[in-house]
Amino acid sequence: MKAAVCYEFGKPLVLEDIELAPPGPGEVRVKLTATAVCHSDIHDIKGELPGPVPFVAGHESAGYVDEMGEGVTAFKPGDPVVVSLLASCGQCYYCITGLPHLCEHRFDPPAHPRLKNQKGDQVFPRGNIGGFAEAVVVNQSQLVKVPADMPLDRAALLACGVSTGFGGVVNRAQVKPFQSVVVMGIGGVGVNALQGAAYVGAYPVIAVDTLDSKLKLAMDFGATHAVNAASEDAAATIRGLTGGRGADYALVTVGSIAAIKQAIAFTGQRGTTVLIGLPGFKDQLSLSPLELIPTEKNIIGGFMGDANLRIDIPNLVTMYQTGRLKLDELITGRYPLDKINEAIASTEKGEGLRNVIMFT
Amino acid sequence: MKAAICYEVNKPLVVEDGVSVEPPGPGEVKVKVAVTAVCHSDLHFFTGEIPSPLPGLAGHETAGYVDEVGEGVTRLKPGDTVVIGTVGTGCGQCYYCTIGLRHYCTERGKLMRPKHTNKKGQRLALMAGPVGGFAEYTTVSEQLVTRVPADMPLDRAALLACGVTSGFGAVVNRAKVKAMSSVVVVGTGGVGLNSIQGAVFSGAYPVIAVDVLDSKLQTAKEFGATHTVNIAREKDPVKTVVAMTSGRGADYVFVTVGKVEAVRQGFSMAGPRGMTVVVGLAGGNLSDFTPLEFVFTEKILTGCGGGSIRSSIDIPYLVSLYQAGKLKLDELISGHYPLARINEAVASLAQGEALRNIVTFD
Repeated sequence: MKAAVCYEFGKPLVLEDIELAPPGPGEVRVKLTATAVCHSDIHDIKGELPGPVPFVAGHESAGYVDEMGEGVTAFKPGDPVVVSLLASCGQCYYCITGLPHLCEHRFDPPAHPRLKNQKGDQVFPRGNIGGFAEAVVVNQSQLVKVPADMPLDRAALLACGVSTGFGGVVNRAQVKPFQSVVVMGIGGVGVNALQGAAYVGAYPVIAVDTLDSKLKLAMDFGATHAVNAASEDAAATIRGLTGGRGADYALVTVGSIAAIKQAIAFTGQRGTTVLIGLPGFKDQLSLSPLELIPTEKNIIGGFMGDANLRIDIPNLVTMYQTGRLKLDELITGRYPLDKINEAIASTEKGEGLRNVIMFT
Repeated sequence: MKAAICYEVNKPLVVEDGVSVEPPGPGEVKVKVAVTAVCHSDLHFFTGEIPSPLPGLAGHETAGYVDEVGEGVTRLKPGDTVVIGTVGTGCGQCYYCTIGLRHYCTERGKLMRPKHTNKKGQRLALMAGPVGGFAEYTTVSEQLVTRVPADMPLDRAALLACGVTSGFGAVVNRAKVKAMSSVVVVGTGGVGLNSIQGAVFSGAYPVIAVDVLDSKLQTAKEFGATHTVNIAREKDPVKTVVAMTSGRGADYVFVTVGKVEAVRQGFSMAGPRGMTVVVGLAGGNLSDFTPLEFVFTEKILTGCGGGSIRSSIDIPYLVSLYQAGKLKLDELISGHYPLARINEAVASLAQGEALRNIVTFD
């Protein structure tokens, strides 16, 4: 099968034929229809997140079940599915307490190597997916069935970008009606944080970015106010919009230390800054404890929007199908696999929200 | 093997030999039973208050040794010391398992498949839980089996299967009582005392024990109750509780006795926004509640099944608490009876004399 392989950090991906092992016990092979390009893919490709080369990136995927390994009964060939990087064992402390996205085994590598290239070298599927390829083998816990009438390029977005933003607000922060929300960074995750905040009745919902074009877009996704951090005193504007107090929640969807520090400043007393965008793994946050004690501010992390896949993905599909969730507007461009380096370059320039690789 | 079988309600159990149990199938475990405690829910079945097909096999607070494991069971091996809980760890796939409420697993009914047969070849229905613990051996789903350390005394461990977890878990898992909040526990038997332990452990104050016997209230104090109310002697017990809780009524009320009147009275002891948790199994209907009481006070009435327990997490945790001296279990055991004398153990519990009687196996 064809795949886009990263052999060297920061270099274009190499299109080549590689070999995919058949699904083992509890595993499923999925023939992919679509994989979206996420900013974490770019972190992977540039070597900003740790991991061995060569590898196949791509973790926002959807397609059709092709073959099941031993013991897989919940799926059958032809089922349309979303493929997520969230693997879960079902029996550890976190799985039992309803937090499968924190499963103790979520990052365990597959029991057997799944990919090898023509030379016979092992190739690593990033996120235990490797979605920049025509097919993937994943653990069955990473799959969620979607209705046959759900377009799979839009379904793919639910695997990561949409759930990270929407779930960051709804599941992790559990924002309530009338609470004020700031969303830092209006990209593929940020617009979904806005959608989540608008959906749960937050007010005001304040979008912060440095590009006016993105702030204009933010208003279409449910922001009630937009603040350009490059051209105005954002902290003062946000205080003005939140009764002089600062926001109840600030969601940082960009992987920037400066944005995190700004977000903490934008929250009020007892306000919560939720970090959902991945920074580079060498970046360090420093702050004075005194910023937290007198104000009782909270800083928390949110991973993949606390997605409980089997519950949340079908809910998001329903919301899309009933007109309550925008997905069509998230897709900026569609590219065949052999133009993947163009898609990645466009995402890196911050031109659009989501570029999707379409497999034929 | 021997087992104590219920052939007729309100008649003594028949201890007989020649009983057999199925070998463990895939995902199942056969356990050599060391001890099974008698619980009040067993009695509800023996008296017919809760109907069941007969003949039946009760007993669900069980501990023993793994004898044999079925296909695919990797986490247990023969010789392991284990508790058989009444609540499974769940299928792991249904809605409730996925959101962390394993005790509501939609597949839990499957755990109730009978596996014992008497010497005449009659299937023995499982009574009062999926265990069948009043027999020398039982076969159950591995979901129900939790390993405990080899140095944990098994008669104490057995109590963690139901009585302790129902009481302690109602406070800690279901109500999630916070420090400094006020708690009333109505009924200070084998479950109520554990609600008291749970409340004390969570830092509640006051922890008010309510019962009709001074002797039980004395025991309640030993389990950590800070105040006691004898409703048989107190003229207006509700008023007394309200006075003990800064004039507001309690933040939480746990009704551990199986009487609807006790639920009604407990609800009156709760203050505005206070939560009444029904823990004890009761026949009959709750009555005499007006919607206005709910509207004006925002009181909460709810129930708790089996302490909302996550067996594989909570049972080992309670073992650690016991071993660290922070959970009383020794004091819950009133007597030990060999299987041949099981009817004495049942009668003593029915009379309300005992907290927990333990049936022992050779």
